[in-house]
Amino acid sequence: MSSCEDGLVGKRDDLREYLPLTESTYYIMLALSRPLHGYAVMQRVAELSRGTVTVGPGTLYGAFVTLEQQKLIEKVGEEGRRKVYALTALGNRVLAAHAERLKTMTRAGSEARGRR
Amino acid sequence: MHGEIVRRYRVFFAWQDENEERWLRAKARDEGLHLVSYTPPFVYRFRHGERADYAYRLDFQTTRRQDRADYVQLFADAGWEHVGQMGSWQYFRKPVLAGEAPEIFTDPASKAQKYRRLLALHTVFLVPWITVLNSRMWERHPGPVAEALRLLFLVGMLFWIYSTMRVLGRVGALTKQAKQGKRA
Repeated sequence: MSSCEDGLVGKRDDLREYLPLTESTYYIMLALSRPLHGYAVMQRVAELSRGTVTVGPGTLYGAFVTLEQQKLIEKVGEEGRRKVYALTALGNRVLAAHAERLKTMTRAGSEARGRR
Repeated sequence: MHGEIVRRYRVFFAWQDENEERWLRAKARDEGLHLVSYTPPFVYRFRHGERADYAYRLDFQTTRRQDRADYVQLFADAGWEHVGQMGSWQYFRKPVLAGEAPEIFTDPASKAQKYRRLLALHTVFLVPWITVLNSRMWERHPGPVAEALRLLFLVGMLFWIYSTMRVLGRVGALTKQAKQGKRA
């Protein structure tokens, strides 16, 4: 069952342990496609989700700790007291894999129910 | 008397942190008492000031000192004042504006993580406690005092088991919510 489209052939197995991402985690990782510090991530998540997803500081800090442990993000610098994070190469691949799943789901939705 | 430090005594166990949060808010809103510090066992110190509506939220974090500044800064950026810490419990407050419901945890998975962190620290006590209970020193020093002390340790153990179950219950309920894909 190979798919040449997504370029993840053969690598899908090691990414499966990270998937699926929760809604908050997905947006946090998406925000970290560019290096950002904590509060900037909070604002970017609200922006990207059109205000439908807000991340509180407790949730965000916990996510940073977990994602850093999983080597999906890394600290790339500091702005005063604030740590600046960005996705690692692995993080980028996990995000792409999750985005693929979402695309497949949306495509299937249009197919099964027709476009609204 | 404004500016005065007032003491209150109240018992909240680890799994009752949301009750504690509501109590602290009521103190601020109804009596103008604003939390200054919490010292065990069960003593809260407040500064008496104007009545104001503040949401209080507790986090459980065992951050290392070098990470603490970043942690506190993140909350401060989001409008949460770090009131202080008691052990690993971090107390935050934020003024409540009309129509807002401030939260530090916005999904059930991260709330469950907080209780899991608490349990991790909680289980540290288990081995030494059991060692003490099973120790042969009780046989070597028989008598009513030893009996009473051993009973106290036993009661402590039972309470430990009970509180672990309560916290596990919360983790279970929150994990179930998280699996259902619910937002907080």
